[in-house]
Amino acid sequence: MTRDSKGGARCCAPRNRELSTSLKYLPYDRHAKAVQLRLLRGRRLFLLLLVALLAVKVVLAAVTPPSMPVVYYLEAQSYSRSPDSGNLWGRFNNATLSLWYLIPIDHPSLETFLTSQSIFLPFSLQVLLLLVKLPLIGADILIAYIMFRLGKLLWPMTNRPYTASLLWFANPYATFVTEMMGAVDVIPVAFIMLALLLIVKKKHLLGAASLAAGIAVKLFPIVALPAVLYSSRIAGSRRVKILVSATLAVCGLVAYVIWSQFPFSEAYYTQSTTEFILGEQSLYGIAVTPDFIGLATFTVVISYLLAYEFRPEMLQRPLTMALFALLGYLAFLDFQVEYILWIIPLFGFANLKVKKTISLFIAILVTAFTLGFFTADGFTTSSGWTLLFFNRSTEWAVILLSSQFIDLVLRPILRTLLTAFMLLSMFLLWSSKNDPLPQNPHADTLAVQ
Amino acid sequence: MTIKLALPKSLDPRLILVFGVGMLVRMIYAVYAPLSGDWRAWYMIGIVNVYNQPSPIFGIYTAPPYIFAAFYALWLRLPISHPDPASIVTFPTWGVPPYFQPTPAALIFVLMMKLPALISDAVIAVLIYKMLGDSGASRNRICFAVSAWLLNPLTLVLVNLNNVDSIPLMFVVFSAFLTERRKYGLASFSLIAAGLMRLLAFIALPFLIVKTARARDWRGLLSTTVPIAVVFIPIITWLTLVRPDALALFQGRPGLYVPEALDVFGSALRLQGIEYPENAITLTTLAYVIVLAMITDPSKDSRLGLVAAPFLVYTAFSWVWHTMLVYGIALGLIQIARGKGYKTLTVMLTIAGFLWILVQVGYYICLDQASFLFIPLYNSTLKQLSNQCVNLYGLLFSSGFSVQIRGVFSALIVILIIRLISGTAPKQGRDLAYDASQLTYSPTDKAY
Repeated sequence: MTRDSKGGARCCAPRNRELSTSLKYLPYDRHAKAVQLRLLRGRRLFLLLLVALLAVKVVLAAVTPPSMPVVYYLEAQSYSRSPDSGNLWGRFNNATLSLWYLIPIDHPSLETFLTSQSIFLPFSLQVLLLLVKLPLIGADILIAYIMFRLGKLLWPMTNRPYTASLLWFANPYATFVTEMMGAVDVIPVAFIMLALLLIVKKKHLLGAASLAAGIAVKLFPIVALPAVLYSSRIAGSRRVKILVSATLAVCGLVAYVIWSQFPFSEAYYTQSTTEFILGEQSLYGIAVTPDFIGLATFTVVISYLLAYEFRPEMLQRPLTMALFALLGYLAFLDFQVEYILWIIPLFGFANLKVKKTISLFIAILVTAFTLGFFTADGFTTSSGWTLLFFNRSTEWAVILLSSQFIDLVLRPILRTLLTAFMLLSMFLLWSSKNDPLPQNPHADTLAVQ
Repeated sequence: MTIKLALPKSLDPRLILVFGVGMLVRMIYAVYAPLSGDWRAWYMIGIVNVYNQPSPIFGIYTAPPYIFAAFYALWLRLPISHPDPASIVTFPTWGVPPYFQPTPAALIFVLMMKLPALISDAVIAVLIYKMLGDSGASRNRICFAVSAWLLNPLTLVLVNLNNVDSIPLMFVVFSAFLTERRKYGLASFSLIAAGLMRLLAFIALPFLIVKTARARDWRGLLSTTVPIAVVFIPIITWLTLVRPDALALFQGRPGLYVPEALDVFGSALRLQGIEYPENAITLTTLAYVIVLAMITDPSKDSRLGLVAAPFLVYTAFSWVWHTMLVYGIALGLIQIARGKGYKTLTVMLTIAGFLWILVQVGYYICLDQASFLFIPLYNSTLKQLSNQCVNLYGLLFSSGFSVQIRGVFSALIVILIIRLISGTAPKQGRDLAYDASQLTYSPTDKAY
């Protein structure tokens, strides 16, 4: 090795240049070119697909009948003493509404959301819906980009980054929940993914800040916090840094509590309740007393403790551990169709390595969608039209959704199946010999090259 | 003949400091903390029914009142003024000044009456030290575990909130200590002594019996069952036949403690709803049987688990009243100190336990005449604060926050049970002396 005047190794660049020059004449040259060409074609196809999917998403966001929460937030300011008009999401909706009023188009009454008998709303209201859902679409794109970046770090010379990105962006479940339903869950999911990307890039403090931002929006990213902190610790971060990270998370929690006006507001009793309660399923019944055990919280804590006790190597992989804990959390959380969104990006990554989980991934999405369909009365909106563009009052819908068989038999079975699939997925992640989500992407990169 | 007053060379000076500070804090807290209902009941029965009106043994109640009576007699013999105890104990707003202006005599009286519990506390600390020392734990671990018992705000509050449970708890921990030394007979006696104060303690007896039977340790089996035959069965039979009223009092609330321990009543996983009780599964009983089967496996050698596991199962899953938490925590601290991550786990257990009792007994903070956190509720200037406490407590209670705290707490306890079952506890020092193959064993932190 050539050395400089101080005896140290010279900068690697000239040496790498020499190496790359010599590589040109190696017999692998043709193969490398073929790989590059394939990647180039893959990239073009990927970009085309992204644009097409984005167009579909934008259209769906505009034309889908607005869900109850979307209408509620848009009209929140008209309710007397509504605390939701003052919180973060309420303020955004108010601002969007003001912006909409500035646009030189018709401005029909918001009551049209409730009274419209047509499947499609007037164009101006569709513009309003699109404006409201723009941040969600932005978060959607951000997640796709993060997944691509993570994929590039993990599998640089393959098409897997594109697949990983499409597993999210082309996922019909994610599109339904985000663009059609208008659930805000995609924003904290984006923060979680950004946090994990930063963690993998060894930017632990920024990762913790991102997670804290996610917690400030909605509580559930706190489930991933131990994974983030622990990975920071084993990466050799100083205790002060870890403490700062934890403090950031606490700040996020405080912000969440403040903007949701917990606990001294009506908001606490309405939409925030389900967010605050980490799984209200108790072991013993429905009533809530201190003697009941919150199964969702129990499962999260026991997941981390079991990993710490028996599979410490899992804790070295924040993506796997976060997915593991989120699956346990969701398995026993009170069911909402949008909650399944939380695991889709990480589960998508796991599928690329652990093939056995693909069938479970599909089964979870199908079961959750079916269960959500029956739980949310066929995804009925305030106007009577459902998110799936059929009228709730049609004869077949009335017969299907009013059946006692659904309430007494089908829904409990589907809920049980959903939990079973999630627990099975956890088991597969636990027992998998493959490293589903490598801890050190740089090491993996070198191995591939 | 000379008497050596020097401390053992192996004794860590930090332990002496921890012990001194811990006991001092406990004494101060014990004197000033509000008097719990159980303490008042045991004390009143002890003084009124045992000391002033001597009655036949077990005529009214079991052992604790007699202990109280003995200390009451001791107090009477002290050369100080003796105010009427009833005026002290029934003082309505016991707490910090200005609600209570304690005289020295009153303080000494309360201290004397709480001395049995304080002594038990100290003995438990010594037993933790001995048990961890026997198992070859490092000085740091021993010191941390003893601190986790004596300086822990959770145990401070739990023990002093009731002031009676530390006495049976001392016998339970002593039983675990003896079990680790394979002295099953004495361990059984100790459990029976504890059980005569709290029926809960009997839940560990089947573990000792099944373990010795499955290990074909016939001598151990005989040692375990003899105390049951000689002490337990005659007393219970006599009480049942002759003094059923005493038995009812002995149980406190009829039928509560043992069923509570095995959780026949409330803690059921209802598979089909309450209208089909035959489909309900009592989780604690289920967990109890499974843990019993696993921990008494002859291939496992978790002797601490024989006593600790049933109490941990009870703490994790049962309908647990806050004062009973201490049974699981005392034994849990020993097991935590033997495993990895002991500091983190201890802190987590403390925080979860403290939050739980804050939520569960929130009315102690908000509604009762005095709070164990010394919040003077009848102070007019703080009335608004206390009202806010009531509101906050109501919100936390109804929100399910308490449910989640219980979830965290139970998960921590369950991991300890798993550790006990999986036999991750280190070999005991006493065993090492017998086992020449353990020469590589090093009693350092890395050994765990």
